[in-house]
Amino acid sequence: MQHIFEIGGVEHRLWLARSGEGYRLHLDGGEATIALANGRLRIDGVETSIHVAHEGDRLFIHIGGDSHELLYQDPVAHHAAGAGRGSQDVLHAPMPGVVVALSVEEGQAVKEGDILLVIESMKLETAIRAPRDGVIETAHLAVGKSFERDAPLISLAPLEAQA
Amino acid sequence: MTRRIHSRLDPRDPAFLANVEHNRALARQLDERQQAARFARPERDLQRLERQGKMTVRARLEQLLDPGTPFLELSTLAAGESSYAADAPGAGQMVGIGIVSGKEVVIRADDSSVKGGAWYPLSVKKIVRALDIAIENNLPVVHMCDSAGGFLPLQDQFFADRYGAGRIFRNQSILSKKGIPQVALVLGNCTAGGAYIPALSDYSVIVRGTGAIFLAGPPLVKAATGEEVTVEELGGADMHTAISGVADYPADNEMQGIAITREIVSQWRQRPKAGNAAIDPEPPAYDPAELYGILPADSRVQFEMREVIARIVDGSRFHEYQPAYGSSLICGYAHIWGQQVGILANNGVLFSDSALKGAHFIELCDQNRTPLLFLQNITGFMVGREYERRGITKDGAKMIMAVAGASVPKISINCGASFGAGTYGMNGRAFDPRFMFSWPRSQVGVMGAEQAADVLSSVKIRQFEREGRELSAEAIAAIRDPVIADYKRASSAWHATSELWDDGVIDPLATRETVALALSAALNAPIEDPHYGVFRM
Repeated sequence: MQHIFEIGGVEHRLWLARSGEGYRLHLDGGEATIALANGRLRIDGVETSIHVAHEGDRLFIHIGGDSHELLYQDPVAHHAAGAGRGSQDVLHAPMPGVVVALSVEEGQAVKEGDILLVIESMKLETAIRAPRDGVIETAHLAVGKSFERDAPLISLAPLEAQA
Repeated sequence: MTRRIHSRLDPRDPAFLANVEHNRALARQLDERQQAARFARPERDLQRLERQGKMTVRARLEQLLDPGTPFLELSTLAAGESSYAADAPGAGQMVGIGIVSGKEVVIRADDSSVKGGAWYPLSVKKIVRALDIAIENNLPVVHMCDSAGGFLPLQDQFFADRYGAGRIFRNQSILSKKGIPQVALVLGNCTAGGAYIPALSDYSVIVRGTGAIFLAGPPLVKAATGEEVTVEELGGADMHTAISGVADYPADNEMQGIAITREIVSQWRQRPKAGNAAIDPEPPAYDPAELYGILPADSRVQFEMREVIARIVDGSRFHEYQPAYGSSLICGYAHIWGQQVGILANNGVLFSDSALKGAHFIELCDQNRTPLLFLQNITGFMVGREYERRGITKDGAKMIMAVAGASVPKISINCGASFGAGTYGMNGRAFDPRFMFSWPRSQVGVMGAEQAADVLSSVKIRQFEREGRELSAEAIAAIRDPVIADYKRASSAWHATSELWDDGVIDPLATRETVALALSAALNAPIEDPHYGVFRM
């Protein structure tokens, strides 16, 4: 699987394969021989000076008088279908317990990470947080109600419905 | 490249800020307790050391270590909550892992600044633990001896039992048998049992004028046989290095003794490390200082362990195993200072599925030769009819079987709670973690304080009821509250570390570095092939 970088909102796919003293660059269907040493980048025999800095997944490159910002795309995150946890509509109880606090009401808009309710189980309090931005469709249980594991606690309005 | 954890923390949340206050205060308290155990001594005791021409144990350590290298001190607060805390700061022992002449070694030193460095019951426990660490991790030992011997009034608590003082000498012999070298630097008295520490070390250095080794000191000899003899004649440096052969190298003073000791260590062979090759380390992408905001001020409140992991591991990168199954136990691979670890972290009580996932993951790590890191925050296994019918006990037994049987090094951190069978499943002290540390907020016990108080006070309450007396809410509270207070004290991190149920209390912000040093020490021992007992299916 090739690496994916984003430059100015455009995705580029590339792979470096070892080749002699340097590397063979496979980029967007094309190929070139490259080598990097002492701040000098050689592409198919043509040498340029290059400065690279990085912060997290962002790379800042100064080359040939121009600056570029590259964003590395993590492959697992990039290929996620968006159908997993992030977009789930119904939050289920991770363990049996009792609702000790309900912080939202139906119709209320919430942000990812907001505390929706607090449950108590085995003498421990656990905050249930919003997995994504959305609107509360149903709060299934009132404060003081007990529930089994996997019982629905909160339903968020489906994303399509909001659009 | 492994994915990064995506933090959902909001540092402007009022709860976050309250937690920061609370945890900073705990870290300050830890720092104050450690400073006191290390340095606070009565002025007259310090003056006595100076008159004797002796350095403090901390000054000796500084000269012994390679300059600028880290020292992983262990059990600094041992005996801190004991009845003899004032007479034995740190149990009168300084123990840790440091670098001497380029080699990782266990350093064990008597602290003679108070009570002549006498051994109390927890001093013996700390020395035996130091030598157990040396045996388990193939680490050479440097002893710095300066002790008046066992504290006689408490001898019934440290002498005759299996892990009593004899275990020190048994462990020294086992180290030698395994080819793990020891050097003893004699800087004061080594009397009675203490005399055997240099005698059982492969190498020993003794300082002229202050160092002495004998089975009985001059007063005891006079009482026994009437013979009058000076300390130097009876067991001084020149007698032992030229005549008896009990010690090997005479030294003119403490500094020269330390220099000779360093030269001895430099002769020892360097052994290759076990485990997989390390990769280039990367700092966590999220600020470790935010740990203070994550850990709730109220110990009953659960917290998200992924947020903790994100602030301990390289690049906050975490390959989570079975992310959708048994979600109350988080399992996955990460690196700490470039060394791979398999992490098991509690995100709720243990269910059958989480226990099965944990057991399976431990076997995966063992096969992959990946050391294990347990981040404990566990109140126990789920209770109730449905869970018993589904066999939660046999699934818990599988996890315990895997924990006990794993061949790779295991390190445990008590991050909050460690209760009941949860302690067993999460590699508690009894399961021989190579190293075990506690955060200041943590608690350990058979069950939580509230539940224990309910059980304990209900016995008394029923007794009153049998006598036909009805108890008011206030009367019940009067029975229950002292029980809670007592139980909380006995399950606190300060008590746990005082009793050596761990290897030290650490600031949460020091976790990354502490685990890295502990892992590095643990990988001095070769790792056996995986093999296990019978898993109850």
